Amino acid sequence: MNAFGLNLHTAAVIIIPMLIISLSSSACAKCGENRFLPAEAAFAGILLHRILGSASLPDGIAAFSVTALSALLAGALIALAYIFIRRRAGAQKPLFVISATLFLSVILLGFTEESSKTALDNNTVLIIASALFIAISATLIFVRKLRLSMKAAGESCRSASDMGIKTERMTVAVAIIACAVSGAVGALACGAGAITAEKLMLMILIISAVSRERLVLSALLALCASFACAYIRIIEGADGNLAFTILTAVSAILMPRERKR
Amino acid sequence: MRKRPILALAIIILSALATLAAAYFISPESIDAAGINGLLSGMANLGILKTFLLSLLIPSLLSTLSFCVLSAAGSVNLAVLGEILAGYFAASRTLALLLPVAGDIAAVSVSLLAGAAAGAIFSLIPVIIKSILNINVTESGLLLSVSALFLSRYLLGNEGAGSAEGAALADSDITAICIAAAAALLFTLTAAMLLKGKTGVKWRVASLGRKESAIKGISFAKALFSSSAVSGALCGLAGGVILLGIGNSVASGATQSSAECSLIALAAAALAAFCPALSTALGLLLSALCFTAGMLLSSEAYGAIHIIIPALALLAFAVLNHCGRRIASGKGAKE
Amino acid sequence: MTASGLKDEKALALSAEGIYKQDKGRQTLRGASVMIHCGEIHALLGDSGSGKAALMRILAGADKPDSGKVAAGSKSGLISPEGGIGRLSVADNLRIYSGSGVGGNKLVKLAEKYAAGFGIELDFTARFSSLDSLDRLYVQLLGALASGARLLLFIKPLYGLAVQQAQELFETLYKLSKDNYAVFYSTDVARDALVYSDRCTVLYNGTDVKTFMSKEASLAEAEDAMLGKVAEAFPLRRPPKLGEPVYTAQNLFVAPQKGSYGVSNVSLMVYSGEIVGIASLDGNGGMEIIESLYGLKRLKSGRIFAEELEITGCNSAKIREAGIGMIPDVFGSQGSSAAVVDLLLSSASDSRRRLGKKAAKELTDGFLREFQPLIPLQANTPLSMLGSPEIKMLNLYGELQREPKMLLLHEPLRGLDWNNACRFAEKLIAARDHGNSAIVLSSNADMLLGLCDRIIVVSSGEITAQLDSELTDEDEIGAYMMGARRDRTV
Repeated sequence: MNAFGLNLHTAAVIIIPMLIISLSSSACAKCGENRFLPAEAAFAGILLHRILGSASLPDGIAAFSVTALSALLAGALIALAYIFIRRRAGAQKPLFVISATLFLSVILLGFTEESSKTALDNNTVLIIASALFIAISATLIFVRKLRLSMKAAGESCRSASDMGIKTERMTVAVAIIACAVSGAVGALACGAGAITAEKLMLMILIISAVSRERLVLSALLALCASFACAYIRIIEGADGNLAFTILTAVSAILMPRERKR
Repeated sequence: MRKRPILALAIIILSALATLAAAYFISPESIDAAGINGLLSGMANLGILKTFLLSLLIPSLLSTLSFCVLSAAGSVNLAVLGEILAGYFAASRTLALLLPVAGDIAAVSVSLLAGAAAGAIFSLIPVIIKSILNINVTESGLLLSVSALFLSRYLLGNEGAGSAEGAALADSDITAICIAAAAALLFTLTAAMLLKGKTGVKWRVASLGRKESAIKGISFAKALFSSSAVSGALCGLAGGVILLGIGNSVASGATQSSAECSLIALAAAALAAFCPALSTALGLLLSALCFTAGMLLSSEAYGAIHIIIPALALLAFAVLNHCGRRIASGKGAKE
Repeated sequence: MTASGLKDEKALALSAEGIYKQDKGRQTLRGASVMIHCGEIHALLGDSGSGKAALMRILAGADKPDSGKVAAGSKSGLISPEGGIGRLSVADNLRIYSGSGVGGNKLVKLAEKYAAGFGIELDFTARFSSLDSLDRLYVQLLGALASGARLLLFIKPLYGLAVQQAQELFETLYKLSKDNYAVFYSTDVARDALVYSDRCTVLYNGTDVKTFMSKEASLAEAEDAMLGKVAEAFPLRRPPKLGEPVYTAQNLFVAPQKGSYGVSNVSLMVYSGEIVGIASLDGNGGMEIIESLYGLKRLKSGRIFAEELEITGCNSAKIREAGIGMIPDVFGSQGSSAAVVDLLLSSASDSRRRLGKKAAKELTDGFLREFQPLIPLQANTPLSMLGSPEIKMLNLYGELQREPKMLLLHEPLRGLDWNNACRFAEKLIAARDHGNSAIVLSSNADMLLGLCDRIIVVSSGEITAQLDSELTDEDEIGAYMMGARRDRTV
């Protein structure tokens, strides 16, 4: 416990998964995809964790691996579905789908119960999450060609494909990987049980809203936001609601600017 | 182009039949038997149709129209939920202030106006954020809606169960009929403005972009502000009507009802590709479906149905979207 | 399809046979075939909408044909005026290319070597968006070369270049063809195709109709093949009947911004009944002049008058009321809810016409009588389904309904097919003969010579020359566009 009454160990269990989601959102934004996409996958992961948690699975790590794997798959599927829809419907439309799935997950959440079966040891969560975080950020930072190609695809699909980048293939791959990782991370964060599923979803929404193309900046913002969330989490009842009100309102003005095309 | 009115008419007839069937087969007694508590049992005395009208149908249709208005100007404002809640709170405060001093009708109409004003003001927040920070209206609208949801939870949580002025007022048939008539009038006016008037042309041209509208001598900012204000006012009004429909007595019902209405509205408007007539008809159908399902199911499933039906409709929209686009561009009839 | 046997001993770089392609419901290619040999510069000549760009992208492998066979003998690189990633630096743009085992910094080193070899001066740390049109092409060319491409495909390379720049580019390409590289490029100007190529294939309506050796063909022959039999004649200009000055701009200054020079000390006067051309390369201030005249750009100093009325600092709505209209080159329509009729009504509505179904139908029918858009349209067709030529024509038709005293046009004929371009020019010239006037901004000196009575050349934000279009030619305009100076006389 520190001066804020916040257990750093618990906070890390919340914050590191959030950082991973922020990285995924940022990667999606970089190659011109919707940055809320990983959030959606994470919602699916949380839901799956809840649903499988009430199913009759063996306890502990085994149950969790099943959950994580299915969350991974669900995330990838969501990315594929999204890309299919976007191709048919155009760029803006998927926002509807995102809001619909958001509402849907909140409702379905109401029908499932927290389960201790798939709960995970905080240390396990920390280790898995940190490993994932390091792997992803290292890839994004050190593979310059990937970064440049993503940026090129995000700016102008046509120019990028003229320059020999398989734009479509790359964006699909990035979206699928980002979503699969986010799905698994959603399940992981939910499994740690440091925060209720509803608040976790809200946090993920905020994190993906403030993330942007620039990795470091979005990671920093995500760090602040998740710290704030982790702190608010311990405020009970009505004051917690007020705090979340303020946090979402603030994140509404911290979102990235619209790019001129 | 010509298929659109026929489709709309068919949908309206269908939903009217569904609603009538629901109202015919289920008497207020059987509601209690079905175990619908909370939202509906508090007002079983109101008459099912009136409840349906005030707490679901009119607000949903008003919000649907608000989506249509804004889509003409080229944006999708997901702040609808926040606008409805703002309208609800403004109307409830005004009503509480005015009821002791003014007549019923005056108090109701003034509070509805206050609701509309609050909705309009709320809707301007994303636009202001856009004009200062250039942040996407849709995305900031979504977050602001969530913010408003938490704020209302905070406010309602502190307040607890309020007085039942609203519900009591709406108990008189005349109020309900007046509101329905006024809503219909408003509806026609707005649709006419969109489809026939110069304002509609201006808004649609503004949807091309800032520079493009300037080239045509149209102020982009003005168009964005005015369309947002009109759509926000419609949603605020919806919030006021919800207040009259469910009253202050069921505090948590306010957020639930608002969420239902905004989701139904989003689904209907999106599914009809933002054509006012068709999306109204679809809004009617969706509300009727939700309502009927609500009547027939247990309270737990009832809550879910309210969200799942429009959410599924939205997903269907996403998949079938190019049908919607065809209808919108008038190509469906030809091909 | 087969050319003379001159090049037969050279290896085939690429051959395509019977390519069909449908795009947005329109059949853009109907069985096009082409053969490109190593060591030749080969032009693809065709009118706008004949399917040149679609064919190029298919040859480059960036797009797939619906049917047909493409056999590439060597790696190809695609280069276009819109290519390149504006937000990245030149070096980063080069790093994106991949091929033959080189990547990253090695690619940049290789590109630097090529640049030195061809005498191309480039700042590799500069932002790509700050480069001029020619350098943008060079960056893409270097990227393609460094990644090992032996076949260089250019989409409209001459577009936006002054004559001198075009010559410089083709000198480089000629050197490349000597080194047995194959160069294939598209253009819609028959003369360019004949001057700058060894061989030329003509594309008409998605099919290759003719292939000939450029030296042996005549201009008329090439144009006939390119335009088909139903081509209209470009309208002839009669000498202008000048009236009172309708538009005066005095000492305009616009602050320079990222990637543009701004405007310094530009004064111009337009009389009723004349068309004035502004010749300026991209980013040299021409756009700023037009935009500041229309109130879209803030002036640092200077005054603007429409007849006697001062309109300095007015917004575009006020300026429109003074009888001025604008037809831009790029008019974004993506993601908007506007339809054809909205655009027409918003252009024409200043004349206090009643809005209604009847007016809308009248306007649309009138438009369809005057122009033949390549994409079929109705009153309620969403603008997002149209291309930029259609929108340009709609804008012109709508504006002319208002009978404006003056029109500001940016690249009016760019992207239009020949017949519609002729009609477009005809409308403008008819309006001029009626006593109205226009300012036309373009980098295409040839087009300006055909359309305008007087040409003002702007370079680096300053007026470098004022020329009578009867007494000047493309070379002279090009020289002034590149920055040469002369005393301002008309």
